[in-house]
Amino acid sequence: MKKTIGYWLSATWLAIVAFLAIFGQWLPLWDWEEPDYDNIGQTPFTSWKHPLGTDGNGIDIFSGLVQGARITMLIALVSVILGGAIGSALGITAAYFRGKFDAFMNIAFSVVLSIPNLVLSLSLVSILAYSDEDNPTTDTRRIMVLILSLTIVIIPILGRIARATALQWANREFVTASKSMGTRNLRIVRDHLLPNVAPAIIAIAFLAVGVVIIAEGSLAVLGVGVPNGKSWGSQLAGAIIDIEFYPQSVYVPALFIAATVIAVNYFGDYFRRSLDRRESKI
Amino acid sequence: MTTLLNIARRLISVIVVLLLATFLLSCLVFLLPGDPAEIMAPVGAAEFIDVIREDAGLDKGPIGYYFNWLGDLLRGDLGSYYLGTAETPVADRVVDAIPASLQLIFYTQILSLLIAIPLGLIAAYRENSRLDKVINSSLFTLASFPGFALGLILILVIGVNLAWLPPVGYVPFSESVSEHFRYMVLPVITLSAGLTATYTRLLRADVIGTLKEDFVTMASSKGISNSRILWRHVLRPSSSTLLTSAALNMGALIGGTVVIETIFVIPGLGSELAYAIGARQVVALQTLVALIAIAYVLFNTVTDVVTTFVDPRTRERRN
Repeated sequence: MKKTIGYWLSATWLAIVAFLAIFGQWLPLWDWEEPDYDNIGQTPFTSWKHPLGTDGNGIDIFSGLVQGARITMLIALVSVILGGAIGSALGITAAYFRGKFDAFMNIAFSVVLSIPNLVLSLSLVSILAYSDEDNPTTDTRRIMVLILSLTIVIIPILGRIARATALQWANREFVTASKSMGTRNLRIVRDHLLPNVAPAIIAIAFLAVGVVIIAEGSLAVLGVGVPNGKSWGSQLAGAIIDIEFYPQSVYVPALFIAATVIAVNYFGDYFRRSLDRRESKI
Repeated sequence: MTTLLNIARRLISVIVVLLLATFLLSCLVFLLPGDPAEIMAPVGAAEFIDVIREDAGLDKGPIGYYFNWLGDLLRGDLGSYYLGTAETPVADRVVDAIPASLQLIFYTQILSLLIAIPLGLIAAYRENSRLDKVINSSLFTLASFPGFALGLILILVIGVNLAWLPPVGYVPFSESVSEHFRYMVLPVITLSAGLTATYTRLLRADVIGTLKEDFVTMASSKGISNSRILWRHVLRPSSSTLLTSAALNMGALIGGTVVIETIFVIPGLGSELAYAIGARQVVALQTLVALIAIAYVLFNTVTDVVTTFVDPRTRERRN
């Protein structure tokens, strides 16, 4: 399929984000936890010291975004890979065996999907990572709970897709042929179903990364996300109160998050379209 | 007869799903890393802990608690907020919160459809032209913008910098109609961005199909103007997918309003949810989430059943 400008823009942006998330800690940047009291609320693009400006506490916004990229990408990738693996395993198995297991999985997915995904992750995080003076919790625990909750949200989304796609392939001739030759079930699923179902799952997984990044930001805005400005959403949420006085501390992270979500959505959409094209040729 | 049987079967599966979902939600209360009654009790009011435990049915164990909660729910008792000296019924606050959320959802649907219908028609009419591509890619970008990011940027640019509209807040319809709408503009635009893109795409695809029909060729050979053909002859037969999707999105919007209400300080169900979390009222939180899930599932089911009746083609396909 033709690669458009949008494709290259999205690819470049995701490469930058990945680079910052992985190698950001070794870049010669201002320490993100160290406020620069001489330059509070500096506007972006006015000095080399703070390229994207500073917020109302003198925290370097770019260093914050580099730190946030690490946590946000960790949350997004772990929950999508984990949720995708569990969801596809369940979905493909259900589609292959049908019967009672399939009916059970169908109900289980419907139960989780009956609660809008943001509301579900909101209630899971606020209860599982509950903290007060008597029940203190650490930042690491909160991040773990966040990943767990978002994984639960992702499982049925990708599980449904995996099941529906696997159903289309489970009755094709080559699967029946393989079965009649006495091939073991695991091998049929691995060699015949998985390679055909994987492209559809990967396309939706990109969209799921976008869903998780949005959920992470939304949860932070609602006050139950990652604490202390350690993720993108958390950095943004902490600055909302300053929106009138230091607007850059809100719009810079907001545009960063938006650009990343747009890029992953573009890739998801691109893969899905090229998949449709491939299938229409068969 | 088979239709009725199908509807009955669907209804049973919906009830099973909702019972399971609400049961799992009520189990969450017991997963708190502490005693739920102690967490909900007002600060420094240890004598209320036992009262609360009994009132909410927390002393009966997870299963007993669930049936107690469910029985109350079916009788219209949504539980209480245990704050201060008096218990506030959750139902009272929910009734106050519903109008704002419904208004937000309703206006969002109207605005999205008003924008999507002309855009979808023109994009389909000029299929693969530069205009079509511009509409498609700008809507895609707008739809991918996270709601909170778009909302905050609108608040910043239109509410604070340009000061054209009040940045945040809510005025009830009954108090002042013009003020009500002035406050609603920004949140409604924020929520509409994603929907407009979805609707335009759906309508565009269907209109492209309809434009190939013989009756369109017939109409244009009769010399009817293009805009009249599009609006009078093409729009109606192309709009069934769009309307179904609009109805299905009512449910999705209930979830989408949660963050937008918080950002724009609108006293709806979403803000109510945030309030319950902030006030550590886990039983109220459970009830609110359950209500949202019930509304969401029932709405989707009703839409599905109604479209089956209205459009026999979907009935065939489903069987």
